[in-house]
Formats: sequence, structure tokens, C-alpha cells
Amino acid sequence: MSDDNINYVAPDEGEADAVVTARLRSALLDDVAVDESTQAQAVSAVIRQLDRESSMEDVAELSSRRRVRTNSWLQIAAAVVAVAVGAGVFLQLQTGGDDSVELSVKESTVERSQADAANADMADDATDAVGGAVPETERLETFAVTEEPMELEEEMALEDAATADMAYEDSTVESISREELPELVDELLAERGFRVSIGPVCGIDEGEWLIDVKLEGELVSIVYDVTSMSVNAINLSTCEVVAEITPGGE
Amino acid sequence: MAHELLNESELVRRAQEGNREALTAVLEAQYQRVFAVCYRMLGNRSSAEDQSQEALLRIARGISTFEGNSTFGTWCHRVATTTCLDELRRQKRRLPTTTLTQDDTSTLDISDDVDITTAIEWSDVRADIRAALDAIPSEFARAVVMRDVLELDYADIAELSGIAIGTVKSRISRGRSLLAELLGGNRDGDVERLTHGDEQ
Repeated sequence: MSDDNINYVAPDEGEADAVVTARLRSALLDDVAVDESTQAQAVSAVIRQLDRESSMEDVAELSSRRRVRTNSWLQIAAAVVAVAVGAGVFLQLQTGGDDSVELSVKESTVERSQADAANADMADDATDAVGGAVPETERLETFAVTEEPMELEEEMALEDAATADMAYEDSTVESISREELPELVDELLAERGFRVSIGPVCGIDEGEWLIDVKLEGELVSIVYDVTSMSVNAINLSTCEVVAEITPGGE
Repeated sequence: MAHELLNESELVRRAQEGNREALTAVLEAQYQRVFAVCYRMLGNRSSAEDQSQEALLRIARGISTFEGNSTFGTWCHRVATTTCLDELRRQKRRLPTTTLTQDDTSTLDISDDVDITTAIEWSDVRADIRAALDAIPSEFARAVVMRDVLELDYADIAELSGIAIGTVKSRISRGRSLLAELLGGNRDGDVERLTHGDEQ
């Protein structure tokens, strides 16, 4: 009897005989022997992968926090500099652009930076004698001087980050053409150990990050869409899908 | 911590809370079933090992979403079948390209509905069960195994076999009937004792 005839006569699945089902399951599943070392390797590989993913999430979170903190400090530093410059201009206008006053202030600042804490009050008293507006300017300049290392530090941190980003783009990220993408994707899908779940991203319900590449000069992430089982090259900063790749070269 | 003294639900709860030791114990406990499912679905140990690891990873990542609506073993079984279905679909997509690169002079006749379930076989199972499965048409036997042993949905069986759902059901019906005749059946009312796992 052919399938089609059966389908026509009895289009249902019938009833499972529980004893037969139990015997089948026992023979086909329970009796399958497992290599213990393979089992141990598989479990430990999974735990290691989870640890890697957790640490990557931690790094991403830390990086995000650092960026926010750096931005905050930069804003504060910029505000301080703006106030100092503004006050300096105001003072210069008030004193009629008297060079002697400016010189006194600079001199006083240098003296302050060289003096120890015990002599600081004496220096203040000495500069008070130059003119009424001088101590205020000096405080501003002194403040600006003490803030300078912090500003430099932040600039250096930013430069480091920028250098790291450039280095990442230049050395880590592979430049690739559109024609080479399908082959790369197939290789990456075969090496599933490199997959990192990134959850919902850019309209994809469940994405898995495969790799970052430079596609025709643009930095893109190759993301596997678990739901549709398709792969997209996405610029994650704009969510623009730069290329769609069909695994298997279809 | 003596995880061997804890029951499965307690281990799962701890694993859901992020306890790595509990997660390790849970994964170790489920590995045999996961591997067996993958082995039956994929037909060779090497692929089964790869996909078992992938399934364990999915279980580990998704364990926090397990709500206890079924047994944990059933949930893991479904994760394993889903993982292997994904792999079979990938293999199916790769098939024409792979064959072309291996021998581009050969005549190719690979249709979209190529039956990729041919990997399911039972040559290594114990003699009585193997004899029964071999005695009936293989498409009936495979349909029963996919449904009653691997617990695949009708739609998945239909997709993998390249046939309509109605045909799947009729194959299952016919296969169940034939196997019941060969392997004995629910004649003694002693079903509950023999049955394990969830019947879908």
C-alpha cells in the first residue's frame, strides 16, 4: 500500500502503543553509549564559553561606564576652563589691560607652584599688596594650573581609546570584499565556538555575533539571525544592513 | 558542594541563579539524552558530539527561561532536537554547493525536497528492536521513530521528509500499528510502569 493511499484513507497518526514506545525509546536513546571524556570536554567547553561571554559583557559594560565617566570629566574640565578664561577676560577689561598686573599674576603663580604649603598664605599676603583684583585672578589661574594634569590625563585617555580603536580597525579587523563574504560566513558558521549571543539587535529578535570585518572600508558586524537563519553584515552604530548573506552559498 | 545529593529541580534552580557548579552538574546529567537524540537524528557520532555541545550551550544560555511547564529533561530533549534540526537544515542548504566543489563534472540531480532524514538509522540497536524496525517499510519506521522517540512535531517531520503533514500522520499510524504487532503492545494495562518521558 502506498503512502498516498494510506493518507487518503486514514489521515491521522493513530494511537501510540505505550509499551512499544517505551521499548523503542529504551533501545534508541537510553542504550546509546556516551564517551565520558567527550562528555566532560563538552560540558567544560560550554562553561568556558559562558565565562568568555560573561567577561565580554563585563568589558562592554565597563567600557560603556568609562566612556560616560570620561565624557563627564571632559564637560567639567571644559566648564572650568571656560570660567577661567571668562574671568580672565573680565579681569583684564576691568584693569584696563595693565601688563604689570598680568605679570604679577604669572609671577605669583610660579611662586605658588614652587612654594610649600606652609608658605602659601605668605604668598597670598604678598600678592594682595599688588592690587585688589589680583588674588581672585590668581586663584583662578592656580585652579586652572591644578586642573591641568587632570585635563591632560583625560586627553591621554581619550587618545589611548582612539588609538586602541584605530589599532582594532587596522590590525584586528579583516578587510574583505562582498564576494568573499559568503565563504567567510560558511567558515564561521562551521566554527560555532566563535558565536556570541547578542540577543535582540537592530530589528533582529535573537542575534549571534560572528565577527567584525571591514567591508569596502566600512566597519560592520556579521550577525547571524537565529530566527530566520540568515546572516547580515550590519553597521551596528546605524543599524544599516550593508549586506545580506545566505549561508551555504544559495 | 555535594551536588549529587540535590534533586534535579533544586540543581536547575541553582543553575538558573548563576551557580556554575550546579549548571555543570545539570549539563552532565542531561548529556546522555542530548547526545542520544543528536546521534539518532544525525547518524554519526562525530556530528552528534558537535551538536550535543551546541545543544548544551543553548541549554546553558537559556536555562533562565525554563519555567517548569514540562520536565527539565523534556525541555532539554526539545532543545537538542531543535539544534539538530537547525544543523540538518544547514546541511541541506550546503549540499548542492559542497557536491559541486567536490566533483564539478558529475551529474547533479539534487532537488529541494531531498530527504535528509536518511541519517536516522538503527543498525546498532539491539537485535529485537532492529528486526522489528527493519521488518516494516523504512519510511513508516522512520516516521514512528521521529514522532515517538525523537518527539518531533508533525511539521518538522513533514519538512525533513519532504512530504505533507497528512502523509506524515498516515505513516505514523501505519508504522505504529505494524510495530505494535511485532513488538507486543499495551495489552496488559501495564503502561504507566513502562512509559517514561512525556508523550506529546
